[in-house]
Amino acid sequence: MRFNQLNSCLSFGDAITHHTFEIDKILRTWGFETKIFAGSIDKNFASYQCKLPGNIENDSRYKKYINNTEDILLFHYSVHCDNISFYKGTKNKKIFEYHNITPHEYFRGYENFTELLCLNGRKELSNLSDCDWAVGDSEYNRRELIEHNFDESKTDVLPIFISFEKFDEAGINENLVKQYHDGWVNLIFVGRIAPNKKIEDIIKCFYYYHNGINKRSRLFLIGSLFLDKYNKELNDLTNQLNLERNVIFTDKVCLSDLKTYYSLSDVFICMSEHEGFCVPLLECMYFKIPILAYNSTAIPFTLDKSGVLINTKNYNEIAELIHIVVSDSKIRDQIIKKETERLKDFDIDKSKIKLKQIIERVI
Amino acid sequence: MDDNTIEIRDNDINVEEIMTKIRENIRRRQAAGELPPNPDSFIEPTSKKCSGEESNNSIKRDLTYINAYWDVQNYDYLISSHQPLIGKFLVKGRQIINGEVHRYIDFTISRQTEFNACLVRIITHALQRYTELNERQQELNERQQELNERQQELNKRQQALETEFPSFKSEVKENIDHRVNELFNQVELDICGRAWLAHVLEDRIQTKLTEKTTPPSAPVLKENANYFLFEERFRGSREEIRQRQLAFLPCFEKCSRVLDIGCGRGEFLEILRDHNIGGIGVDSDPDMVAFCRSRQLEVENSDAISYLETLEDKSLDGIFIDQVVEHLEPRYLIRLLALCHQKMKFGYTIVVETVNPLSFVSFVNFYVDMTHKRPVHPETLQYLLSATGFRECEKKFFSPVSEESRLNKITDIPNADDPSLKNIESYNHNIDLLNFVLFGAQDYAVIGKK
Repeated sequence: MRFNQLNSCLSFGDAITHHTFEIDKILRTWGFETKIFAGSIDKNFASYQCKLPGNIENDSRYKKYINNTEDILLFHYSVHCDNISFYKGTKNKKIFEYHNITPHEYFRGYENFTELLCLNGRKELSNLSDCDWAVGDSEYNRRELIEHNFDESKTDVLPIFISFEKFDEAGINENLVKQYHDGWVNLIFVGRIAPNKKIEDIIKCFYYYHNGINKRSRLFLIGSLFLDKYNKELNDLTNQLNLERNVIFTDKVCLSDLKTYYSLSDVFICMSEHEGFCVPLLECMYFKIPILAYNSTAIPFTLDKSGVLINTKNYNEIAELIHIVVSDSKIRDQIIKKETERLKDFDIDKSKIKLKQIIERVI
Repeated sequence: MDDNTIEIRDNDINVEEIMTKIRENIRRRQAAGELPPNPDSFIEPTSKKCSGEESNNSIKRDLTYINAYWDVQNYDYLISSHQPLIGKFLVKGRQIINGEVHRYIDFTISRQTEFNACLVRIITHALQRYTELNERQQELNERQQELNERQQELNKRQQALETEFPSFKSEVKENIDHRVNELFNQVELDICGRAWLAHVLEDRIQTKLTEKTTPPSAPVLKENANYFLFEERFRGSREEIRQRQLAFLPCFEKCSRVLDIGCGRGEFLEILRDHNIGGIGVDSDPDMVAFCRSRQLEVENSDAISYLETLEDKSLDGIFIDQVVEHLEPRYLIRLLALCHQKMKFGYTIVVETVNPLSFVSFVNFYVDMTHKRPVHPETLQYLLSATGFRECEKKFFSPVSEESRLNKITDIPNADDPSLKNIESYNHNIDLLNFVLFGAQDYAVIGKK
C-alpha cells in the first residue's frame, strides 16, 4: 500500500508545501511507502537551507500509480491546476484536502494569470466532491466544502501540520540582531505581499503609531514580493507617508532570518481579508508574540479564544491598541497566555491521531 | 461581530476598559496636537508641509535678506534737477550740501557698513554652528537615551543573573532530563505509529479471514467444572508455582504497577508483594478472584480485554501473562497484546509464558486441561509480540523434565582402546536427541520490552 500526495506546486515558505512534507515524514515513520507529486517544484529550496524529501516527482509520473486500487491519494487543493484530472480519474482511495482559494477579485488589475487560476479553482470546487473523505485545514474551509456539494458526513478538519523543531534547529542572524535589537518597538507581519493581505492597511496603522505615539518603532513586512504593481503601490504609499526608513520589506527569507525577525518583534499585526488557515498565527503563538488580526475568513477559527480580533479598520484606534499591548505587561501577558494554550490544540500528536482516524476510514 | 473596534474572547481581559482607554488617549493627543493628520491627505500629490518647516523657511528668508542688504552705503544717488532755468543753481547747491554732509556722515556710514558685514558674517556662522550643534545635540540625546536603556537592561540582566545563577545548575539538569525524555517519547511514538499501522492491516486481514465466523469473545475458562479445583489437582501446588515464577522476578525490579493477566491463585502477585513491587491481577474466574482477595491481593474479576480497556494508556510498568495464551483464540490474543502495548510505559517489560509444544511430553500433557484451545509455537508468539511493537523479544525455556523421567544414557564408559566405546558414544548422542524431542523443557516464555 502506497500513500501518494498530489500538489499543484511545491515552494519554500509555502504552508501547504511544508504541511505536505510533514505528513510524508509521519507516514514514513508509520511504515508507509510514500510519494509526493507536484505540477511544479521550486528550484530554490537549497538556497534557503531547506532539504527536500527524496521521494518527490513531477505529477506526470503519478500516471504510473493511478490504477492502483490499494494506494491512497491525498490531494491538496488551493488553486486550479492541470493535475485535477489525475485526481478525478484515479482509482486510488481518495482524500481531498481543501486549503481554500483566494477570491480572484483581489488580483484584478495586478496579475491576470493568478486571477484566472483563482477564478477557475473556485468554479471547479463543486466538481471535485467525489472522494472517500474530504478535509479542510480549518473549520472555515470544511464549511465551504459542504457549501460546494461535499457530503458533510464524510468531512473533517485536519489542521496544518506544523513542526516548530525546525525553529529550534535554525540559527539566529546576528547581523539582523545588531541592526534591530535597539530598544525600538518592532511590529511584524508575515505572509505573501498580496492584495488580499491588505498590507496598505497595516502601513496606515503603523503610520498612526509611529507618528502619533512612538517614533522609535518600525514595521517588518516579511514575505514574497511577487506582484510588481502591488509592490510599487506600497512603496509609493510608504514614501508619501515618509515611512520609507521605518517600513522594511524583506521579501522571502530563510528560516534563520524568519526566526530572528520573530524574536525581535513585539506585536504581530494582520489586516488580511482572506485566509484559509494563516500559519503565521501559530508561529506567533510559538514565539509568544501578541496577535492583532482582522476578523475575517479563517482567522477567528485559527485564533479561537486567543489573540485580539479587529472588527473595524479604524487605524487610529488600532495604533492606540498596539500601544496598549506593547506597554501594558498585564494585558500583553494574558494575551500570550491564551495563545500558548491555543497552540496546544495544534499539537502535532493530536493531528497525527486525526490523520490516523481518516486513514482508517478510507482503507 | 462586536460594536467595538476590537474583540477579545477572554473573560480575564476587559475590552470595554481597553476601548475607553484608547478613546481617551486619542482625545488627549488631539488636544495636545500630537495626532498625526489623516494619511489620506498625505497620499494626495500636493502634500502640505508641517509648521516647523515653515518657521525654518522664514529664518532662511531673513538670512538671505540680511546677506543682501548689509551694505547701507548709497553709491547710486544722482544729484539732478528738472527745473529748466534754476536747475543748474539747484544742482550746484545740492552738490555743495551733499559734499558737506558726506564729510560728516561718510565715516559713520562706512563704520556702520563694516559693522553690518561683521554682524551678518557672525550671524551666518552662528546659525550654521547652531544647526550643527542642534543636530549633534539630537544625536547625543538619542545616544544618551540608548545608553540609559542599555544601562537599565544591563542592570536588569545583572540582577537576573545574580538570582538565576544558583538555580542554573539544576536548570541545566532539568533541560537535559527533558531532552532525554523527549527523545524517549519520540522513539516511543515512532514505535506506536508502526504498531498502529500493523494493527490496522492485521485487523483488515483478520476481518476478511473471519467474515463468516463469530466475533471474538473472551476465553471461557470454565463451564460447570470448578477450574480452581482443577488447577489445584493438575497444575501443581502454590509453592511449586511460586518457585517456578521466581525466575521472572528480575524482569519487574523497581516497578510499581505490574499487571498479572490470568493471575489464577495469585502466586506471582504474592511474589511481587513480598518484594515491595506493586501488583494487580485480573482473572475471569470468580473462584480464583475470591481466593486471591482472601489473601489481601488486589484482583479484578473481569475479562482481560475489557479490564485493559478501562485503564489509562501508559499506566502500567510491567505485564505478566502466565499459562494463559494457550486458552485464547488468535484474534483475541492479538487484540490482548495490542492493548498490553498501549497500556504500558515505554522501556518496561512484558513476560508471556506458556506450554512448550516443541517437547512431546509437554505437548501430550497439553490436553489434560480441556480449556486449552491450542498450543502456541514459540516462533509464533515471538513474532506476535514483535509485530505488536514490543522490542528485544527473546524466547527462554523453563521447567525441564526431571532426570529420572528422561531416557538414561550409559554411564559406564570403557577405556579408549575398548572397541565398544564408539557404539556407546553414538548411543548416548541419540539418547540426547531423543530426550530433547521427547522430554524437552515443558514451558517457555517470550520476554519483550515496549
